[in-house]
Amino acid sequence: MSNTTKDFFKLSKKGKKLSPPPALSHDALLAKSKLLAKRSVEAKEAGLDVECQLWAAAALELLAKAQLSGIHSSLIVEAENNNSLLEANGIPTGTAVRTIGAATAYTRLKHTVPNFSTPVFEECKKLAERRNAELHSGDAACASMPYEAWEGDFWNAADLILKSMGMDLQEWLGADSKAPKALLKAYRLAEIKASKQRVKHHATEFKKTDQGKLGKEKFALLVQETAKLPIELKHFHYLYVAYWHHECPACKTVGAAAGDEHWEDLADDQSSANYGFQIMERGYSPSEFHCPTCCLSLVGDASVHAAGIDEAHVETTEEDIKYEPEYGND
Amino acid sequence: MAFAPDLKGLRQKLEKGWASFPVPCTDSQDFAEALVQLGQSLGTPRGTRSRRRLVDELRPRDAHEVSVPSLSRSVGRGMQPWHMDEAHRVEPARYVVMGILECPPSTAPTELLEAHTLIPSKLQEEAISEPFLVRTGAGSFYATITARDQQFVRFDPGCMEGATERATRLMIGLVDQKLLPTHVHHWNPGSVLVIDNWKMLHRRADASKSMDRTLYRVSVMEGSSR
Repeated sequence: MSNTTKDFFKLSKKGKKLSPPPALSHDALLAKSKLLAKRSVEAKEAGLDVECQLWAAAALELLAKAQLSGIHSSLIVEAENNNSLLEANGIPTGTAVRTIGAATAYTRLKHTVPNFSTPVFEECKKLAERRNAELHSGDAACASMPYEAWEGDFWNAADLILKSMGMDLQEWLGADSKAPKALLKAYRLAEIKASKQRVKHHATEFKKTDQGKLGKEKFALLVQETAKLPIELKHFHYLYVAYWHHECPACKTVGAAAGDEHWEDLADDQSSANYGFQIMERGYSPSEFHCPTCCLSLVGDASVHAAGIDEAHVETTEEDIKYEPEYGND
Repeated sequence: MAFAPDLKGLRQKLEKGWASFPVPCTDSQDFAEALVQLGQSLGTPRGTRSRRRLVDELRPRDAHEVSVPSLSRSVGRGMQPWHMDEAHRVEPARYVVMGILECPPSTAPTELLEAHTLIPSKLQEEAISEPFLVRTGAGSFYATITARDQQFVRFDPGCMEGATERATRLMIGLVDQKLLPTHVHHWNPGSVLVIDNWKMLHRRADASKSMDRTLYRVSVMEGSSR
Protein backbone atom coordinates (compact mmCIF):
# COMPACT_ATOMS: atom_id res chain seq x y z
CA MET A 1 0.00 0.00 0.00
CA SER A 2 1.58 3.31 -0.98
CA ASN A 3 0.86 6.46 0.91
CA THR A 4 0.90 9.36 -1.50
CA THR A 5 -0.42 11.94 0.90
CA LYS A 6 2.95 12.57 2.49
CA ASP A 7 6.39 13.06 1.01
CA PHE A 8 8.27 11.14 3.69
CA PHE A 9 11.65 11.89 2.16
CA LYS A 10 11.11 15.66 2.29
CA LEU A 11 9.76 15.43 5.82
CA SER A 12 12.79 13.49 6.92
CA LYS A 13 15.25 15.89 5.29
CA LYS A 14 13.57 18.77 7.07
CA GLY A 15 14.51 17.00 10.27
CA LYS A 16 10.94 16.10 11.11
CA LYS A 17 10.94 12.88 13.09
CA LEU A 18 8.27 10.53 11.80
CA SER A 19 6.51 8.96 14.77
CA PRO A 20 6.16 5.21 14.98
CA PRO A 21 2.83 3.67 16.07
CA PRO A 22 2.16 3.22 19.83
CA ALA A 23 3.13 -0.46 19.62
CA LEU A 24 6.68 0.65 18.89
CA SER A 25 6.80 3.95 20.73
CA HIS A 26 9.41 4.30 23.47
CA ASP A 27 7.08 6.34 25.66
CA ALA A 28 4.18 3.92 25.28
CA LEU A 29 6.35 0.88 25.95
CA LEU A 30 7.89 2.50 29.00
CA ALA A 31 4.52 3.53 30.41
CA LYS A 32 3.14 0.03 29.97
CA SER A 33 6.24 -1.52 31.53
CA LYS A 34 5.63 0.67 34.60
CA LEU A 35 2.04 -0.56 34.80
CA LEU A 36 3.04 -4.21 34.56
CA ALA A 37 5.87 -3.79 37.10
CA LYS A 38 3.39 -2.27 39.56
CA ARG A 39 1.04 -5.23 38.98
CA SER A 40 3.94 -7.55 39.80
CA VAL A 41 4.60 -5.74 43.09
CA GLU A 42 0.89 -5.82 43.95
CA ALA A 43 0.70 -9.53 43.12
CA LYS A 44 3.58 -10.25 45.50
CA GLU A 45 1.92 -8.26 48.26
CA ALA A 46 -1.23 -10.31 47.68
CA GLY A 47 0.74 -13.55 47.93
CA LEU A 48 0.16 -14.45 44.27
CA ASP A 49 3.54 -16.00 43.36
CA VAL A 50 2.78 -17.07 39.83
CA GLU A 51 1.07 -13.82 38.83
CA CYS A 52 3.93 -11.85 40.35
CA GLN A 53 6.42 -13.66 38.15
CA LEU A 54 4.27 -13.45 35.02
CA TRP A 55 3.79 -9.70 35.38
CA ALA A 56 7.49 -9.27 36.13
CA ALA A 57 8.47 -11.16 32.98
CA ALA A 58 6.13 -9.04 30.86
CA ALA A 59 7.29 -5.81 32.50
CA LEU A 60 10.94 -6.64 31.88
CA GLU A 61 10.32 -7.50 28.25
CA LEU A 62 8.55 -4.19 27.65
CA LEU A 63 11.25 -2.29 29.53
CA ALA A 64 13.86 -3.92 27.29
CA LYS A 65 11.89 -2.92 24.21
CA ALA A 66 11.43 0.61 25.53
CA GLN A 67 15.20 0.87 25.86
CA LEU A 68 15.77 -0.32 22.33
CA SER A 69 12.97 1.78 20.90
CA GLY A 70 14.50 4.81 22.58
CA ILE A 71 17.47 4.32 20.29
CA HIS A 72 15.30 3.57 17.29
CA SER A 73 12.00 1.78 16.81
CA SER A 74 13.48 -0.43 14.11
CA LEU A 75 15.41 -2.24 16.85
CA ILE A 76 12.23 -3.91 18.10
CA VAL A 77 10.69 -5.13 14.87
CA GLU A 78 11.45 -8.26 12.93
CA ALA A 79 13.97 -7.28 10.30
CA GLU A 80 12.52 -9.62 7.67
CA ASN A 81 9.11 -7.97 7.91
CA ASN A 82 9.13 -5.05 5.44
CA ASN A 83 5.90 -3.53 6.67
CA SER A 84 7.02 -3.55 10.29
CA LEU A 85 10.27 -1.82 9.29
CA LEU A 86 8.34 0.86 7.45
CA GLU A 87 6.00 1.31 10.43
CA ALA A 88 9.04 1.58 12.72
CA ASN A 89 10.17 4.52 10.64
CA GLY A 90 6.81 6.25 10.85
CA ILE A 91 5.51 5.20 7.46
CA PRO A 92 2.01 3.71 7.85
CA THR A 93 1.28 0.55 5.88
CA GLY A 94 -2.10 -0.41 7.26
CA THR A 95 -0.77 -3.73 8.57
CA ALA A 96 -0.25 -5.02 12.09
CA VAL A 97 3.22 -4.53 13.46
CA ARG A 98 5.23 -7.54 14.57
CA THR A 99 7.78 -6.94 17.31
CA ILE A 100 10.70 -9.15 18.24
CA GLY A 101 10.53 -11.73 21.00
CA ALA A 102 11.91 -11.24 24.47
CA ALA A 103 15.03 -13.33 23.82
CA THR A 104 15.93 -11.24 20.77
CA ALA A 105 15.35 -8.04 22.71
CA TYR A 106 17.63 -9.22 25.53
CA THR A 107 20.29 -10.25 23.00
CA ARG A 108 20.28 -6.72 21.61
CA LEU A 109 20.53 -5.26 25.10
CA LYS A 110 23.96 -6.87 25.40
CA HIS A 111 25.06 -4.19 22.95
CA THR A 112 23.05 -1.26 24.23
CA VAL A 113 23.00 -1.57 28.04
CA PRO A 114 26.29 -1.28 29.96
CA ASN A 115 27.07 -4.29 32.21
CA PHE A 116 24.27 -6.35 30.64
CA SER A 117 26.60 -9.32 30.68
CA THR A 118 25.97 -12.95 29.81
CA PRO A 119 24.80 -13.98 33.31
CA VAL A 120 22.27 -11.12 33.36
CA PHE A 121 21.12 -11.95 29.84
CA GLU A 122 20.70 -15.65 30.66
CA GLU A 123 18.55 -14.93 33.73
CA CYS A 124 16.31 -12.60 31.69
CA LYS A 125 15.98 -15.25 29.03
CA LYS A 126 15.06 -17.89 31.61
CA LEU A 127 12.38 -15.60 33.05
CA ALA A 128 10.90 -15.19 29.56
CA GLU A 129 11.04 -18.94 28.96
CA ARG A 130 9.25 -19.67 32.23
CA ARG A 131 6.58 -17.13 31.31
CA ASN A 132 6.11 -18.81 27.92
CA ALA A 133 6.00 -22.28 29.45
CA GLU A 134 3.47 -21.12 32.07
CA LEU A 135 1.19 -19.56 29.45
CA HIS A 136 1.57 -21.95 26.54
CA SER A 137 2.17 -25.39 28.01
CA GLY A 138 1.02 -27.73 30.73
CA ASP A 139 4.11 -26.97 32.83
CA ALA A 140 3.77 -25.16 36.15
CA ALA A 141 6.99 -23.34 35.28
CA CYS A 142 6.51 -20.27 37.47
CA ALA A 143 4.91 -22.03 40.43
CA SER A 144 8.01 -24.12 41.04
CA MET A 145 10.28 -21.09 41.28
CA PRO A 146 10.40 -19.40 44.70
CA TYR A 147 10.85 -15.61 44.81
CA GLU A 148 14.42 -15.88 46.05
CA ALA A 149 15.41 -17.83 42.96
CA TRP A 150 14.51 -15.15 40.45
CA GLU A 151 13.51 -11.75 41.79
CA GLY A 152 17.02 -10.52 42.69
CA ASP A 153 18.14 -11.15 39.11
CA PHE A 154 14.93 -9.52 37.81
CA TRP A 155 15.39 -6.28 39.76
CA ASN A 156 19.09 -6.24 38.92
CA ALA A 157 18.36 -6.50 35.19
CA ALA A 158 15.59 -3.89 35.42
CA ASP A 159 17.94 -1.53 37.27
CA LEU A 160 20.67 -1.92 34.64
CA ILE A 161 18.22 -1.20 31.82
CA LEU A 162 16.75 1.79 33.67
CA LYS A 163 20.22 3.20 34.38
CA SER A 164 21.08 3.04 30.68
CA MET A 165 18.10 5.35 30.11
CA GLY A 166 19.10 7.71 32.91
CA MET A 167 16.32 6.38 35.16
CA ASP A 168 16.08 4.34 38.33
CA LEU A 169 13.62 2.10 40.19
CA GLN A 170 12.17 5.15 41.95
CA GLU A 171 11.19 6.71 38.65
CA TRP A 172 9.91 3.41 37.27
CA LEU A 173 7.78 2.38 40.21
CA GLY A 174 7.17 5.60 42.11
CA ALA A 175 5.45 4.88 45.40
CA ASP A 176 5.83 1.14 44.82
CA SER A 177 9.60 1.33 44.61
CA LYS A 178 10.41 1.10 48.32
CA ALA A 179 10.37 -2.67 48.68
CA PRO A 180 12.09 -3.44 45.34
CA LYS A 181 14.84 -0.91 46.07
CA ALA A 182 15.48 -2.48 49.45
CA LEU A 183 15.39 -5.92 47.92
CA LEU A 184 17.84 -4.98 45.17
CA LYS A 185 20.21 -3.40 47.66
CA ALA A 186 20.02 -6.51 49.85
CA TYR A 187 20.47 -8.76 46.80
CA ARG A 188 23.60 -6.93 45.64
CA LEU A 189 25.08 -6.84 49.13
CA ALA A 190 24.31 -10.54 49.52
CA GLU A 191 26.08 -11.28 46.21
CA ILE A 192 29.17 -9.40 47.36
CA LYS A 193 29.11 -10.96 50.81
CA ALA A 194 28.58 -14.45 49.41
CA SER A 195 31.46 -14.00 47.03
CA LYS A 196 33.85 -12.88 49.74
CA GLN A 197 32.74 -15.71 52.00
CA ARG A 198 33.17 -18.21 49.23
CA VAL A 199 36.71 -17.00 48.59
CA LYS A 200 37.51 -17.18 52.31
CA HIS A 201 35.99 -20.63 52.65
CA HIS A 202 37.89 -22.05 49.68
CA ALA A 203 41.12 -20.45 50.88
CA THR A 204 40.68 -22.09 54.29
CA GLU A 205 39.82 -25.50 52.83
CA PHE A 206 42.73 -25.31 50.40
CA LYS A 207 45.21 -24.69 53.21
CA LYS A 208 44.15 -28.02 54.73
CA THR A 209 45.12 -29.93 51.55
CA ASP A 210 48.60 -31.21 50.64
CA GLN A 211 48.89 -28.62 47.93
CA GLY A 212 47.93 -25.93 50.39
CA LYS A 213 50.82 -26.92 52.69
CA LEU A 214 53.55 -26.73 50.04
CA GLY A 215 56.66 -24.66 50.70
CA LYS A 216 57.35 -21.49 48.75
CA GLU A 217 59.37 -23.06 45.95
CA LYS A 218 57.12 -26.06 45.38
CA PHE A 219 54.09 -23.80 45.49
CA ALA A 220 55.66 -21.61 42.81
CA LEU A 221 56.05 -24.73 40.65
CA LEU A 222 52.40 -25.63 41.28
CA VAL A 223 51.38 -22.16 40.16
CA GLN A 224 53.40 -22.59 36.96
CA GLU A 225 51.75 -25.95 36.28
CA THR A 226 48.24 -24.63 36.83
CA ALA A 227 48.99 -21.78 34.44
CA LYS A 228 49.55 -24.35 31.70
CA LEU A 229 46.33 -26.27 32.29
CA PRO A 230 43.83 -26.06 29.44
CA ILE A 231 40.67 -24.12 30.27
CA GLU A 232 37.66 -26.47 30.51
CA LEU A 233 34.52 -24.77 29.27
CA LYS A 234 32.35 -27.38 31.02
CA HIS A 235 33.19 -25.78 34.40
CA PHE A 236 31.44 -22.57 33.45
CA HIS A 237 27.73 -21.93 33.88
CA TYR A 238 27.42 -19.95 30.67
CA LEU A 239 29.14 -19.64 27.30
CA TYR A 240 31.32 -16.59 26.80
CA VAL A 241 33.30 -14.96 24.03
CA ALA A 242 36.64 -15.22 25.81
CA TYR A 243 38.35 -17.31 28.49
CA TRP A 244 41.69 -16.53 30.09
CA HIS A 245 43.92 -17.56 32.96
CA HIS A 246 43.70 -15.52 36.16
CA GLU A 247 45.10 -15.90 39.64
CA CYS A 248 42.64 -17.57 41.99
CA PRO A 249 41.76 -15.16 44.81
CA ALA A 250 41.38 -18.11 47.20
CA CYS A 251 44.30 -20.52 46.66
CA LYS A 252 46.57 -18.21 44.60
CA THR A 253 47.18 -20.83 41.90
CA VAL A 254 45.95 -20.11 38.38
CA GLY A 255 42.29 -20.55 37.48
CA ALA A 256 40.23 -19.29 34.57
CA ALA A 257 38.06 -16.25 34.09
CA ALA A 258 35.54 -15.73 31.31
CA GLY A 259 33.63 -12.81 29.88
CA ASP A 260 32.39 -10.94 26.87
CA GLU A 261 34.00 -8.29 24.72
CA HIS A 262 33.94 -4.85 26.27
CA TRP A 263 35.89 -2.89 23.65
CA GLU A 264 37.96 -3.25 20.52
CA ASP A 265 40.62 -0.87 19.23
CA LEU A 266 43.65 -0.55 17.03
CA ALA A 267 46.80 -0.88 19.18
CA ASP A 268 48.72 2.38 19.64
CA ASP A 269 51.99 0.71 18.79
CA GLN A 270 51.84 -0.80 15.31
CA SER A 271 55.62 -1.01 14.91
CA SER A 272 55.71 -4.80 15.32
CA ALA A 273 52.99 -5.43 12.76
CA ASN A 274 54.15 -7.16 9.60
CA TYR A 275 53.47 -5.50 6.27
CA GLY A 276 49.81 -5.90 5.36
CA PHE A 277 48.85 -6.63 8.97
CA GLN A 278 47.62 -4.55 11.90
CA ILE A 279 47.64 -5.14 15.64
CA MET A 280 44.21 -5.14 17.27
CA GLU A 281 43.48 -5.00 20.98
CA ARG A 282 40.27 -6.32 22.51
CA GLY A 283 39.22 -5.90 26.12
CA TYR A 284 37.04 -8.53 27.82
CA SER A 285 35.17 -7.88 31.05
CA PRO A 286 35.16 -10.81 33.54
CA SER A 287 31.76 -12.29 34.41
CA GLU A 288 32.67 -15.72 35.74
CA PHE A 289 35.65 -17.44 37.38
CA HIS A 290 36.52 -21.05 38.08
CA CYS A 291 39.55 -22.57 39.75
CA PRO A 292 40.25 -26.26 39.00
CA THR A 293 42.60 -26.50 41.99
CA CYS A 294 40.44 -25.35 44.90
CA CYS A 295 37.13 -25.50 42.95
CA LEU A 296 36.20 -21.89 43.70
CA SER A 297 33.38 -20.88 41.35
CA LEU A 298 32.10 -17.31 41.03
CA VAL A 299 29.23 -16.45 38.70
CA GLY A 300 28.11 -12.95 37.79
CA ASP A 301 29.84 -9.60 37.51
CA ALA A 302 29.15 -8.58 41.12
CA SER A 303 30.56 -11.85 42.52
CA VAL A 304 33.63 -11.78 40.34
CA HIS A 305 34.38 -8.11 41.00
CA ALA A 306 33.87 -8.56 44.76
CA ALA A 307 36.63 -11.18 44.66
CA GLY A 308 39.00 -8.68 43.10
CA ILE A 309 38.74 -9.97 39.54
CA ASP A 310 37.65 -6.73 37.93
CA GLU A 311 40.22 -5.67 35.39
CA ALA A 312 39.48 -6.08 31.72
CA HIS A 313 41.51 -8.82 30.08
CA VAL A 314 43.21 -7.43 26.98
CA GLU A 315 44.11 -9.65 24.07
CA THR A 316 46.33 -8.54 21.25
CA THR A 317 46.11 -10.11 17.83
CA GLU A 318 47.80 -9.44 14.54
CA GLU A 319 45.25 -9.43 11.76
CA ASP A 320 45.58 -8.92 8.07
CA ILE A 321 44.40 -5.57 6.92
CA LYS A 322 41.37 -6.05 4.79
CA TYR A 323 41.25 -2.33 4.01
CA GLU A 324 43.86 0.40 4.06
CA PRO A 325 44.13 2.21 7.40
CA GLU A 326 41.62 4.83 8.45
CA TYR A 327 42.49 8.48 7.76
CA GLY A 328 43.17 10.77 10.71
CA ASN A 329 43.72 14.47 11.40
CA ASP A 330 47.10 13.85 13.03
CA MET B 1 40.22 19.52 39.02
CA ALA B 2 36.73 20.62 37.98
CA PHE B 3 36.74 23.16 35.18
CA ALA B 4 33.72 25.43 34.95
CA PRO B 5 33.65 27.29 31.64
CA ASP B 6 31.38 30.28 31.15
CA LEU B 7 29.13 28.46 28.73
CA LYS B 8 26.93 31.40 27.75
CA GLY B 9 29.93 33.60 27.08
CA LEU B 10 31.61 30.80 25.14
CA ARG B 11 28.61 30.22 22.88
CA GLN B 12 28.38 33.95 22.20
CA LYS B 13 32.03 34.05 21.20
CA LEU B 14 31.62 30.94 19.06
CA GLU B 15 29.06 32.72 16.90
CA LYS B 16 32.00 34.22 15.06
CA GLY B 17 33.40 30.72 14.58
CA TRP B 18 36.04 30.47 17.26
CA ALA B 19 36.91 31.42 20.82
CA SER B 20 40.14 31.40 22.76
CA PHE B 21 40.99 31.82 26.41
CA PRO B 22 43.48 30.60 29.00
CA VAL B 23 42.85 27.55 31.16
CA PRO B 24 44.64 27.61 34.52
CA CYS B 25 46.36 24.22 34.76
CA THR B 26 49.89 23.12 35.51
CA ASP B 27 49.46 19.40 35.08
CA SER B 28 48.99 17.76 31.67
CA GLN B 29 46.39 15.34 33.01
CA ASP B 30 44.34 18.18 34.53
CA PHE B 31 44.70 20.14 31.30
CA ALA B 32 43.46 17.25 29.18
CA GLU B 33 40.57 16.69 31.60
CA ALA B 34 39.67 20.40 31.40
CA LEU B 35 39.50 20.14 27.60
CA VAL B 36 37.20 17.12 27.89
CA GLN B 37 34.94 19.00 30.30
CA LEU B 38 34.86 21.93 27.91
CA GLY B 39 33.93 19.53 25.14
CA GLN B 40 31.17 17.97 27.27
CA SER B 41 29.70 21.42 27.87
CA LEU B 42 29.45 21.93 24.10
CA GLY B 43 28.31 18.50 22.97
CA THR B 44 29.57 14.91 23.01
CA PRO B 45 33.32 14.34 22.85
CA ARG B 46 34.27 11.54 20.49
CA GLY B 47 37.56 9.66 20.16
CA THR B 48 39.27 9.89 16.80
CA ARG B 49 41.59 7.02 15.90
CA SER B 50 41.12 5.42 19.30
CA ARG B 51 37.48 5.09 20.32
CA ARG B 52 38.52 4.86 23.97
CA ARG B 53 40.68 7.99 24.23
CA LEU B 54 38.93 11.32 23.98
CA VAL B 55 42.05 13.48 23.98
CA ASP B 56 44.55 13.39 21.11
CA GLU B 57 48.13 14.51 21.68
CA LEU B 58 49.46 15.86 18.41
CA ARG B 59 53.07 16.60 17.61
CA PRO B 60 54.50 17.72 14.27
CA ARG B 61 56.16 14.82 12.46
CA ASP B 62 58.22 14.45 9.33
CA ALA B 63 56.36 12.77 6.49
CA HIS B 64 58.59 9.70 6.52
CA GLU B 65 57.75 9.09 10.22
CA VAL B 66 54.06 8.67 9.46
CA SER B 67 52.74 5.29 8.37
CA VAL B 68 49.00 5.97 8.43
CA PRO B 69 47.01 8.26 6.12
CA SER B 70 46.95 11.82 7.43
CA LEU B 71 47.96 15.34 6.46
CA SER B 72 51.26 14.76 8.26
CA ARG B 73 52.05 12.03 5.75
CA SER B 74 51.66 14.44 2.86
CA VAL B 75 53.05 17.72 4.25
CA GLY B 76 55.14 16.60 7.23
CA ARG B 77 56.02 19.63 9.36
CA GLY B 78 55.18 22.06 6.58
CA MET B 79 52.14 24.30 6.38
CA GLN B 80 48.97 22.26 6.13
CA PRO B 81 46.31 22.96 3.53
CA TRP B 82 43.01 24.46 4.67
CA HIS B 83 40.76 21.72 6.01
CA MET B 84 38.05 20.85 8.46
CA ASP B 85 38.63 18.11 11.00
CA GLU B 86 36.81 14.82 10.45
CA ALA B 87 35.84 15.56 6.86
CA HIS B 88 36.35 11.78 6.62
CA ARG B 89 33.33 11.11 8.82
CA VAL B 90 29.81 11.20 7.45
CA GLU B 91 29.03 13.68 10.22
CA PRO B 92 32.19 15.61 11.14
CA ALA B 93 32.71 16.91 14.65
CA ARG B 94 30.93 20.20 15.31
CA TYR B 95 33.59 21.65 17.56
CA VAL B 96 37.31 21.11 17.92
CA VAL B 97 38.77 22.00 21.29
CA MET B 98 42.51 22.53 21.10
CA GLY B 99 44.96 23.42 23.81
CA ILE B 100 48.68 23.77 24.35
CA LEU B 101 50.00 23.53 27.90
CA GLU B 102 53.64 24.40 27.33
CA CYS B 103 55.29 25.99 24.33
CA PRO B 104 58.03 28.41 23.30
CA PRO B 105 56.97 31.77 21.77
CA SER B 106 57.84 30.64 18.23
CA THR B 107 55.38 27.72 18.24
CA ALA B 108 53.60 27.37 14.90
CA PRO B 109 50.25 29.16 15.10
CA THR B 110 46.88 27.79 14.05
CA GLU B 111 45.23 29.77 11.26
CA LEU B 112 41.49 30.01 10.67
CA LEU B 113 39.41 30.72 7.57
CA GLU B 114 35.67 31.24 7.29
CA ALA B 115 34.49 28.16 5.43
CA HIS B 116 31.96 30.00 3.28
CA THR B 117 34.79 31.96 1.62
CA LEU B 118 36.41 28.80 0.28
CA ILE B 119 34.15 28.35 -2.74
CA PRO B 120 34.01 31.32 -5.16
CA SER B 121 30.61 31.82 -6.83
CA LYS B 122 31.79 30.46 -10.19
CA LEU B 123 32.58 27.11 -8.53
CA GLN B 124 29.45 26.75 -6.39
CA GLU B 125 27.72 24.47 -8.86
CA GLU B 126 30.67 22.13 -9.05
CA ALA B 127 31.08 22.12 -5.31
CA ILE B 128 27.53 20.81 -4.91
CA SER B 129 27.55 18.38 -7.82
CA GLU B 130 31.02 16.88 -8.28
CA PRO B 131 31.58 13.77 -6.16
CA PHE B 132 34.73 13.00 -4.22
CA LEU B 133 35.94 9.73 -2.80
CA VAL B 134 36.44 10.38 0.91
CA ARG B 135 39.09 7.79 1.56
CA THR B 136 39.32 6.41 5.07
CA GLY B 137 39.87 2.68 4.96
CA ALA B 138 36.80 0.52 5.54
CA GLY B 139 34.65 3.59 6.19
CA SER B 140 35.32 5.28 2.83
CA PHE B 141 32.35 6.96 1.15
CA TYR B 142 31.44 9.42 -1.59
CA ALA B 143 30.47 13.03 -0.93
CA THR B 144 30.36 16.47 -2.47
CA ILE B 145 32.04 19.49 -0.90
CA THR B 146 28.74 21.22 -0.27
CA ALA B 147 25.25 19.76 -0.27
CA ARG B 148 21.68 20.95 0.19
CA ASP B 149 20.80 21.01 3.93
CA GLN B 150 24.44 20.33 4.81
CA GLN B 151 25.58 22.93 7.31
CA PHE B 152 29.29 22.56 6.72
CA VAL B 153 31.79 22.66 3.88
CA ARG B 154 33.35 19.20 3.67
CA PHE B 155 36.96 19.93 2.75
CA ASP B 156 40.21 18.10 3.40
CA PRO B 157 42.65 17.54 0.54
CA GLY B 158 44.29 14.82 2.66
CA CYS B 159 41.38 12.43 2.35
CA MET B 160 39.23 13.71 -0.54
CA GLU B 161 40.05 12.54 -4.06
CA GLY B 162 38.06 13.71 -7.05
CA ALA B 163 35.91 10.89 -8.40
CA THR B 164 35.49 12.80 -11.68
CA GLU B 165 37.89 14.94 -13.71
CA ARG B 166 35.92 18.06 -12.79
CA ALA B 167 36.13 17.15 -9.12
CA THR B 168 39.90 16.70 -9.37
CA ARG B 169 40.24 20.08 -11.10
CA LEU B 170 37.94 21.65 -8.53
CA MET B 171 40.15 20.45 -5.66
CA ILE B 172 43.31 21.74 -7.38
CA GLY B 173 41.60 25.06 -8.02
CA LEU B 174 40.44 25.45 -4.43
CA VAL B 175 43.82 24.56 -2.95
CA ASP B 176 45.62 26.88 -5.38
CA GLN B 177 43.57 29.90 -4.28
CA LYS B 178 46.07 30.54 -1.49
CA LEU B 179 43.44 32.14 0.69
CA LEU B 180 44.68 34.24 3.57
CA PRO B 181 43.51 33.44 7.09
CA THR B 182 40.61 35.24 8.71
CA HIS B 183 42.32 34.90 12.07
CA VAL B 184 45.70 33.68 13.30
CA HIS B 185 45.83 32.12 16.74
CA HIS B 186 49.27 32.45 18.34
CA TRP B 187 49.73 29.89 21.10
CA ASN B 188 50.66 30.79 24.65
CA PRO B 189 51.23 28.26 27.42
CA GLY B 190 47.88 27.13 28.82
CA SER B 191 45.79 28.62 26.02
CA VAL B 192 42.76 26.95 24.51
CA LEU B 193 41.22 27.50 21.10
CA VAL B 194 37.69 26.27 20.40
CA ILE B 195 36.78 26.12 16.73
CA ASP B 196 33.31 25.75 15.27
CA ASN B 197 34.41 23.08 12.80
CA TRP B 198 31.29 23.62 10.69
CA LYS B 199 31.91 27.36 10.24
CA MET B 200 35.68 27.53 10.02
CA LEU B 201 38.45 25.75 8.18
CA HIS B 202 41.81 25.71 9.84
CA ARG B 203 45.44 24.77 9.26
CA ARG B 204 48.64 24.54 11.21
CA ALA B 205 51.30 26.93 9.97
CA ASP B 206 54.78 25.68 9.12
CA ALA B 207 56.05 23.77 12.16
CA SER B 208 59.57 23.00 10.94
CA LYS B 209 60.96 25.01 13.82
CA SER B 210 58.39 23.93 16.42
CA MET B 211 60.20 21.01 17.94
CA ASP B 212 58.35 21.03 21.28
CA ARG B 213 54.80 21.56 20.14
CA THR B 214 52.31 19.23 21.80
CA LEU B 215 48.75 20.10 20.98
CA TYR B 216 45.90 18.48 22.92
CA ARG B 217 42.70 18.08 20.98
CA VAL B 218 39.15 16.96 21.76
CA SER B 219 36.68 16.46 18.90
CA VAL B 220 33.09 17.23 19.90
CA MET B 221 29.93 16.00 18.23
CA GLU B 222 26.83 18.15 18.03
CA GLY B 223 24.32 17.39 20.77
CA SER B 224 24.62 16.05 24.29
CA SER B 225 24.78 12.37 25.20
CA ARG B 226 23.53 13.11 28.73
